[in-house]
This record gives sequence, structure tokens and C-alpha cells, in this order.
Amino acid sequence: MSNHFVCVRLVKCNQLDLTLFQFDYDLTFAAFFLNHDRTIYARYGTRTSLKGADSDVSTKGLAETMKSVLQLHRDYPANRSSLAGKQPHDIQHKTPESFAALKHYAPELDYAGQVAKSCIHCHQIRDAQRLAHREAGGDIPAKLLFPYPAPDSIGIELDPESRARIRRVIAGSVASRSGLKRHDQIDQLNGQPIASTADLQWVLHHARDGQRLVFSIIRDGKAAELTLTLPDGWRNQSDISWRPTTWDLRRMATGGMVLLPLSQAEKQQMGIHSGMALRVQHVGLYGDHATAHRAGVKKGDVLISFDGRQDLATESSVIRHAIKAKRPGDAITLRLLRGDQPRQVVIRLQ
Amino acid sequence: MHSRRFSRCAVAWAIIVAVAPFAFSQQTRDDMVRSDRQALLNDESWYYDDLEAGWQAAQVARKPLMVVLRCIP
Repeated sequence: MSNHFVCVRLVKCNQLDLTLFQFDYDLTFAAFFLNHDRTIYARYGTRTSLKGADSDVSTKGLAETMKSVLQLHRDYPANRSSLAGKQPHDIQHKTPESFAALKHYAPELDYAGQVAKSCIHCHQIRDAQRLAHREAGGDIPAKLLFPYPAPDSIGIELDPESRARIRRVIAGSVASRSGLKRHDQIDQLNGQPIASTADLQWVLHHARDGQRLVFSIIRDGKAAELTLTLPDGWRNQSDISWRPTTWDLRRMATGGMVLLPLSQAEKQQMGIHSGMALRVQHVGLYGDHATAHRAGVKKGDVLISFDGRQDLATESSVIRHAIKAKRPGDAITLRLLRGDQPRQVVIRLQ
Repeated sequence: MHSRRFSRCAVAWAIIVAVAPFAFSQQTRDDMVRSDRQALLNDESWYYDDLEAGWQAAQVARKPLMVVLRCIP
């Protein structure tokens, strides 16, 4: 099976063709499967946390995806219409260098010099996309803030050793209500062949609130079709705290703080009864990442209110509020606990 | 020549991934990038940073391309 591929390794994003290579730029490993005419058969590569990557990807899962790709290749071009949705769209920049933040990079790596610094890393593309919106004074679109939602954003988890088999349906979720069940094999989603978790995330990435998703599944050897309607705000449930690109969002939104929710036991011990209790796990000390530090925030402080909100239970929800409801330059009041002593500081968003 | 490409490259990658934390522990990130290039540039299992050659090979061989984007962390 593996002998049937031509393998290409790309090691840099300098001059990367963004009219073709659209994927989750927070990954450190991603694969594309294509026909020589540039038609994309499938994407591979998923990450949902900073824990071991084996909870999201595996060599067995990659092999299953490759089997699926070979079938798509055999069926091509008769299946061309079913692949249409997998092709790049929303093309706004042809290369990373077309972003102002990245235009100074040379096309080739400087192997004789500081080669790592001469490389445009994948995550810098998303950083540049967001920065372009932010510096224009505009909103950062939800699709850029919460990109490539993981399957759990709709209430399912996929088996990383399969191409797209459900290993868990979260009780009470929209997926549960739609009738999806454990062990269902997702064959197509909105007519697109699903060869990997990344393929499913591609569909979710481009989906809108209220959109219907049609799952073509195999259950107990029989084909079936189920429909799920995405509720309002479904995308905002994504956890973006693990993403490398969230580092720059923290500069803009939290003054450089990294925030981690307290456990229920820790909240009880501190006598916190509201929904918000986020420990400052790290606070930037230098440059634009030191806004919170300069305002007096210290590592170990517990954030209990942000801009008057006490219901922002996760770092992702804090970032969303700061980016979507506020603008650069706005002053935000933080209420914190240092031990049992309350403190209040003000930071300005960037 | 390409018939054994993937299995050979998979072995090469597995070795690199397994030993990298130890072998490269004294290396800078720049050293690691150069080592990665040295290890794979002449490996016939892969077209290293040469997408154009990959397109042409896929057309001639009538095979699909697998394009891997992998950062040296």
C-alpha cells in the first residue's frame, strides 16, 4: 500500500502556496494527499491538547487514511464532484510573505547561518492572519479565533487508529441528539469523503452556526444518514489554550497571562463560588507580553473577574471576550486573589 | 526505485524521531535543522523540499502524492 505514493517533505512555509495548502497551521505535523493535478484527496494531522499526540493521531490511523486515499485515487476523476468541497477556498493571500508581518523573509532557508530563524513556521501564518485583522482595527473572525474545531466541539471523539470511527459520543451533546453512536464509521460529511479526523475538521472549520451537517455513516455494516444542526456558538466551545498561536492572542487579550482553571476542590478551598477561577500559570515579563506583569499581576494569582465578567470559566472564553467584545486600547479591570487577599488591576488590550 | 520509498522512509523517520532527543540533545535548533536535511536530502524515499519534482513524479508514476509538512521542534 505504501509503495503507491510519491512522498514529498516540506520543511518550511517560505513561499508556501496558500492557494493549495490550507490546513490547521498550529500543527507540527500535517500531511496532504493529492492528485498530480493538484486536487486534494485528503488531509491528515490533528492535535487537541498538549498531551501526547497519540490521543489524536497514530501510524495505524495514518495507514487507514492512506488506504482510503488510494481508493479515492482509483475512483478519480469520476468522483471529482464529491471532492469539490475539500479544495481550498477563502483564498486571500497567495503566500505567507504577502502578509505584512512576514514579508521580510527570504524565499530559501539560510542553511549556512541562522537557519531556524530564516524559516517561516506554520503557526506564523495564523499569527499573521490574526494580526492583519487586529491591526486593521477590525474584528478577528470566529473562524480565525477558533480554527479547525475538534470533533468534541459537536460532541464526538474519533478513534485515532481509524480513519474516522466514533469512539465516544458525549452525553447530551448535539451529536448525541442527532443519533450518532459509538462505533459509527463516518463515511462522508456533507457529501465529502472523510478519510481522517482532519477531513472532518476541514468541514467544521468552514461551517456556520445553524448549518446542517449530513453524516453518511456505516453502522453494523449498513449505510445510514443522520443530520445534525449546529447550534449557535458551537465553535466557541473549542479549547484553543494548547495552540502555539494562542501565545500572541494572550498578548492582545490577557496582558500576557497564561490561565489554567482551578479544580473544584481548589475552588472550594479558596471559597470561590462563582464560575470563574483561573490561576495565573505564567505571566510574561518582557515587552508587549508583560502588560499584566507591569500592572502588578504575579504568577500564582487567581483571576476571579475579567471586565466585570465572573462567568468566563476557561482561558479560551476570556480570550474570546477580550477579542470579540472589546477593541485594542480598551481598559479591562481584573479582580484577582493572591492567597486570600483580593487585588484589582487594570490592563489595556493590544 | 520508488517502490520501496515509503517503507524505507518510515524506518528512517522512526529512527530519527526515536533518537533525536538523545542524539541532538547537545545540538542547537539550527544544528537539528541541518542534521535533518543531511539525513533526508539524499534519501531516495523522499523528495526533500521539492514539490515540483513530486508533481512530475506523481504524474509519470500515476500515483497520489503524500506531502508532509513537518517542523523541527
